[in-house]
Amino acid sequence: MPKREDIKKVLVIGSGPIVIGQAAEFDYAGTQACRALKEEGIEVVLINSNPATIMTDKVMADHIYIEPLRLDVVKRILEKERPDSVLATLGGQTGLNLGMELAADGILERLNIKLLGANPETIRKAEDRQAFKDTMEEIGEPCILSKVIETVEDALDFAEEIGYPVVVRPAYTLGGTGGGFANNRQELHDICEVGLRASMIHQALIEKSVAGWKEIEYETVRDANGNCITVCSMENIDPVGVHTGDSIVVAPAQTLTAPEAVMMRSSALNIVTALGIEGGCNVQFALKPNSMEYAVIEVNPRLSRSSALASKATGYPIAKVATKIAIGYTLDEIVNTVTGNTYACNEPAVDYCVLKFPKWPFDKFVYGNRTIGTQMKATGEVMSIGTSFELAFMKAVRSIELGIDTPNLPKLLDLTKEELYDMISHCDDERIFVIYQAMKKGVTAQQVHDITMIDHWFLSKLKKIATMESELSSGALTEEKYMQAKRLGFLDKTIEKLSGQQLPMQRAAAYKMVDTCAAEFDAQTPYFYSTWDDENEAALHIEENPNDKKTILVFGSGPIRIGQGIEFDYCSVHCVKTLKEQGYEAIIANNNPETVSTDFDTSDRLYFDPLTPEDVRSVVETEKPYACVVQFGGQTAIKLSQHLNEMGLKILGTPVDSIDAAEDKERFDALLESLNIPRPKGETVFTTEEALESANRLGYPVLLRPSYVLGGQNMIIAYSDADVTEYMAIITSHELENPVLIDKYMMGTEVEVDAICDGEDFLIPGIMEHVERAGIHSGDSISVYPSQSIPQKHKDTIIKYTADMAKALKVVGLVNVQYVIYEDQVYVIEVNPRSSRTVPYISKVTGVPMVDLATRCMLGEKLKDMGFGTGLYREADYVSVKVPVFSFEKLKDVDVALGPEMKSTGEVLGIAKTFQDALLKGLTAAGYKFKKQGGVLISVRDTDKQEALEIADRFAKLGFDIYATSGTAHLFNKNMIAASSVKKLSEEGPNIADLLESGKVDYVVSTSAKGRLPALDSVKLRRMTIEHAIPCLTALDTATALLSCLEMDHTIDDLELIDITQI
Amino acid sequence: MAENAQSKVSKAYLVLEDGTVYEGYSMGKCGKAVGEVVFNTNCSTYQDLLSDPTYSGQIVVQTYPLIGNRGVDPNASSRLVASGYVVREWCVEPTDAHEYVTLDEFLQEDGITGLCGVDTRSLTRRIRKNGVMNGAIVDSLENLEDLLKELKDYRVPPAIGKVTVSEPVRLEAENPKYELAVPDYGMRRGILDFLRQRGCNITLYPAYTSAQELLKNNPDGVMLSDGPGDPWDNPEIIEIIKELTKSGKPLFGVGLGHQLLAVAAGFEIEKLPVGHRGSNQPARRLDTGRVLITSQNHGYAVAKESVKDEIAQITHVNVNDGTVEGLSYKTFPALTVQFEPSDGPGYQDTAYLFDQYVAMLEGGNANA
Repeated sequence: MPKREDIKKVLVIGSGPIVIGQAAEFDYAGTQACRALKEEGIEVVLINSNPATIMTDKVMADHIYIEPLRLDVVKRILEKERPDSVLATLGGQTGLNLGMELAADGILERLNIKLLGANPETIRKAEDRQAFKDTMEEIGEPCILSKVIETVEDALDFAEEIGYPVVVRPAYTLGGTGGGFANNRQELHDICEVGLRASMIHQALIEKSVAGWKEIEYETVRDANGNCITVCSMENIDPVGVHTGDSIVVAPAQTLTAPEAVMMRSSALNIVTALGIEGGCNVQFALKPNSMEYAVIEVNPRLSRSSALASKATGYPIAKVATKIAIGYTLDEIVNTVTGNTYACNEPAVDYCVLKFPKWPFDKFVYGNRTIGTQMKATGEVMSIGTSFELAFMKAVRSIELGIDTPNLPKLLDLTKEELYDMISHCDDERIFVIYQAMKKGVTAQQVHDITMIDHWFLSKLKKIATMESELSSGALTEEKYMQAKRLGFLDKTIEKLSGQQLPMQRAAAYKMVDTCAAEFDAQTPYFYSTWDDENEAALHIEENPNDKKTILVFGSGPIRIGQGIEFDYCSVHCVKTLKEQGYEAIIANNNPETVSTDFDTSDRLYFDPLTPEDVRSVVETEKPYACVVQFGGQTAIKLSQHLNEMGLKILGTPVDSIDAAEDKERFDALLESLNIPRPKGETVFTTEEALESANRLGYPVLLRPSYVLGGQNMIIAYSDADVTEYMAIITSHELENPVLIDKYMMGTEVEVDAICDGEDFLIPGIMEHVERAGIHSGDSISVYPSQSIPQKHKDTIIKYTADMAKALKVVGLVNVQYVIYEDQVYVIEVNPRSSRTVPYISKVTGVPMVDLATRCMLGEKLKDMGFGTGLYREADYVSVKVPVFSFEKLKDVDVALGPEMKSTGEVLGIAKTFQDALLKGLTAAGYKFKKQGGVLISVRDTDKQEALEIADRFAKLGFDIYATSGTAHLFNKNMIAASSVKKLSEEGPNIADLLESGKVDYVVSTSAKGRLPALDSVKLRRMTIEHAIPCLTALDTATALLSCLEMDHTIDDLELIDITQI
Repeated sequence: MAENAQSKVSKAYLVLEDGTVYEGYSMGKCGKAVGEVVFNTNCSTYQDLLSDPTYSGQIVVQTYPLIGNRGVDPNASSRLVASGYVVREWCVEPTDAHEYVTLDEFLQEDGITGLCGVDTRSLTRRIRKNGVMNGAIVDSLENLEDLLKELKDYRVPPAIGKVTVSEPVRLEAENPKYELAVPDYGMRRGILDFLRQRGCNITLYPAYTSAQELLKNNPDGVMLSDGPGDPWDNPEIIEIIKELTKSGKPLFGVGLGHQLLAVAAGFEIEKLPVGHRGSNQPARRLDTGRVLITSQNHGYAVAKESVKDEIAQITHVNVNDGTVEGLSYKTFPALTVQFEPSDGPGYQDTAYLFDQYVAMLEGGNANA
């Protein structure tokens, strides 16, 4: 079937802010979709509240709305734009849910708009528990048996029917409390009794336990004609029980027998056929080892994290193909652009092993509960490709940026065999390293298997790496042994260290192509990974396609983590685009499968490999680039600078030394002094004693952080000696290579500036002001552009300081500077001579293509010739408010209070004519519901009490009931604000916990003076608000901002929806 | 060399007809094996692959690098027929090691010469670029010139005589409705299960059984099975098939059977540059437009231009290269396909063909 002629204008729904479980993969999918539609001449309307995305770039769609992803908003866009179709299957669960809501609403029917990709009936069959079960039953596909029960007797009866073990999942309990595994009647009886009591509605789900079964996934694609293929099979190394997003995954599945593989593939195809999928679909199975027994776990009738992984693992562009199917094409009509001479109906064949490794945020959240299970906790992931599992595994280990080159986690090295053995049964983010260490110390594969049910095949591979480690430590390092170690993924420096010998030879990696077809056909698209074979396909490819262009290597930013998110991928992709436009060959090296930068057609050549100095050296040897770019790849790329310099590779833009000058405290201080720019007083310390002395000398509060930080990692504000002592204990337990910095903390207005510099001139697209006072990480602050309250004299100072520093640091490209205005004076907090988190959104709202200009500066052009002028760019007509988005509900025990350490995972943007309206949009997009009545609980530290008065007063005037702990309540009452006193958590009930549970509280304002220990009352209180889904404001300024929205007489319905392509 | 354990065994080489040498390590039986070097892109099948009689006279290269992860079932009925086997890495500690043997042990037992530790992708690329070549696995590079000469002269020997049944074999269905005569050209028996499930009693005959003999018991139809080698190597069989077409009995051809019937009908056969070997070959049904994902394993195909409209209609074509994948005959009742309708991952797409054939048998019955 050719393209449908009735599709001329399509609304694409994005996935919104990055949260745990829904990350950059949907920018990748959405971007592919927009491109696929535009190349068919279809007019594209896009809605996504996330401004850091590539899909919201002006070139990606014809009309772009950075607006809240809510039914009412989307309906208004449909009314305004009148598309003939909606594509909702590329925007994650958010997009799919909106698609369903639109269908249920009736607006699609009323305006005669088609829902492409999956019809409501298909979505219902896949998403509704009962409908799914019925459908599976009809086609004879086994589901995991389950039943909702309300009595212990029913539970016991059902368990008899399906057999033990079973899982008890009480309905509506906090964090799954009261549930568990039952192996027999007695256990089930006991668990059920507790579980039912814990359940608010006295209900529990009894489910057959498939824990320990293999978890297998299939990515499928089906078209309207019924043609159906599987793109890729994937196997989770961790058996069922660990969320697939938190599992280490291999592709293709490695431990299936041929009949098992055929059985699961057939089942996957039966299911997508029965559901009537038209597009991509993910099917997850549990497979009982050695039994040919399996059960369908779930089906995602949309693009997913797994489909992004499968796309990158095979080279098969699922999102693009799904989009083409949505507009009427069939698989045999869609050309496979990787080979250029086969079609999308060719099932990919791979000839390598792919591994995905999750990136967890626990280096940042030291008190976070690290247990992994059914709730995903990873913020990002890396992918690695190798000719063997070992090679892929070792590549992944060094790509996740834990500071290790082998699976040896330093803190595990000194543990005994017994200690390690005991740790294996605890499933957390480090378990694979515990297993590795335990096997090294003599725990057998069988013992590990008995506890974890991890397949022997994987364990034997880990064992082989361990064996090589010990072989390297003994005997002569021959060429043969060296090559064996290389093929298992060992780095030269590791081999040298382990053997204590000089390398007998040294060679660079050779590259193989990812071509979807295992070399059966000649492929056109250069997508490479490193191996230790002799034939170097990348080198051959370069040789066979000669041109006169200079080659420039761009480094990506690796896995997505808090503090280094999708923004850096945006920058890398834009840099590549500009380099190509300027007549260069642009090469990308990166290891993140979720991103647009690793899409096969973003760069001229893609190297999907780790970003360590040695891995990069091999790329450089093959590519022999003219120069490289590091300033767009976040800290991951910046870290490479020194090595690249030593390698003799030219780094475009700001000199490497300037990065050091900005990050080395002493050099930076000297620089500021020479420029006569003030900064908060600070000192450098190494020990707890020094820290305490210094803190008292500077005067509390003080800011503590390790030097060389990323996203405020391990940074706190200390108000007392106790805080300093607690902090230093954590830092010293990590590593003390770098000293700790202590600064006087100034609680003023924070201002942020990004500038483009060409070495002589500079251009500041805009000045951003933070809503919250200094002390909250810039990534976690609500930020407004243009600044609203900064007097001109300070703006002038900021511009001057920025210019002076940029010049002194010889910045060519981008620089980000953070200032604090305190007692009418501007101080510099920090300077980063590289791209920043704010670049994508400022580019979009000012219309200044920052990365494009910065890249051209790096290539030698001058700002004055580029048509955007120099100095401060004119202010936009619209106000933009960036609001951070958090994933706290997924991270147990993490304190939600904001501070100098970044905690947000994503962001949304509100754009409107006025600050208030933009703020309303931003907060709406971030998920605030603006309930205008109910109760507010206020619990603040002593220093905040006076300010809290005004907040309480304003809430009271709006008609809210005010609750506060006794001291605060007393203060409120004394000031004529009616407030009910509530007992503290530590006091006998009824206390705060009961109040929160009662549903009487709609907002919580909580600030506290003390640290982040989960056992603290204030931390517990804030955790409880998250579990009750009550908005918790941990900065008074945020509370004030919210109040100003509550006090408004209009709602989001009254605000104009803005097509940013028109501003 | 990826596997430590594998590196302890001796060096071995794959020498191609064009003089290229790939160095690796010996796997399975040590010694020399000569054959036509072909690659297969299937990721999860290895045991079934090696026992496929159509690989007779060939050295199989598996493009997927990690082979034997689940070990090999030593009790499987089919013996191995490929001349040689080349992989990148075989699994020393398969998941089911306690029940199964390793690939290496299995190859040794069946006397198949193998080679591992080879850059199989480079090898595959070479075959794809230059077309299928002869090659040899050897344990030394002495007398290379003689070997190259031997390779130049090597032709895959006609093998049907070696792989066919030696005397008739009877396979009964549970609810028999039809009788099927099946001359065995070297087939994998799996396909017969699909027919038996549909009520066909089957009698397997040695490949060279005469038409008279095949039709002696008045079967409802005759199936022409798959098998190894060049269809032109079998003039006697082609003559027998010509006889069969005159019988009016519905014929069902698969693989080599499909090619032999085409030759009998006067069509041409062409040799494909690299052949189709894998479980992901897309074939389009021309009647519905549906694309079937099929398992294939062949180096020859019916030449498209030679198919005479008045004799047969092309029913399936390969989506990638447009070659003929299926024929339906007009002058006598027969349907034939190039791919394996019962095999591997794609069977649910292709199993309808058995229903179509059974419907033809039913029609034949009605006529009788």
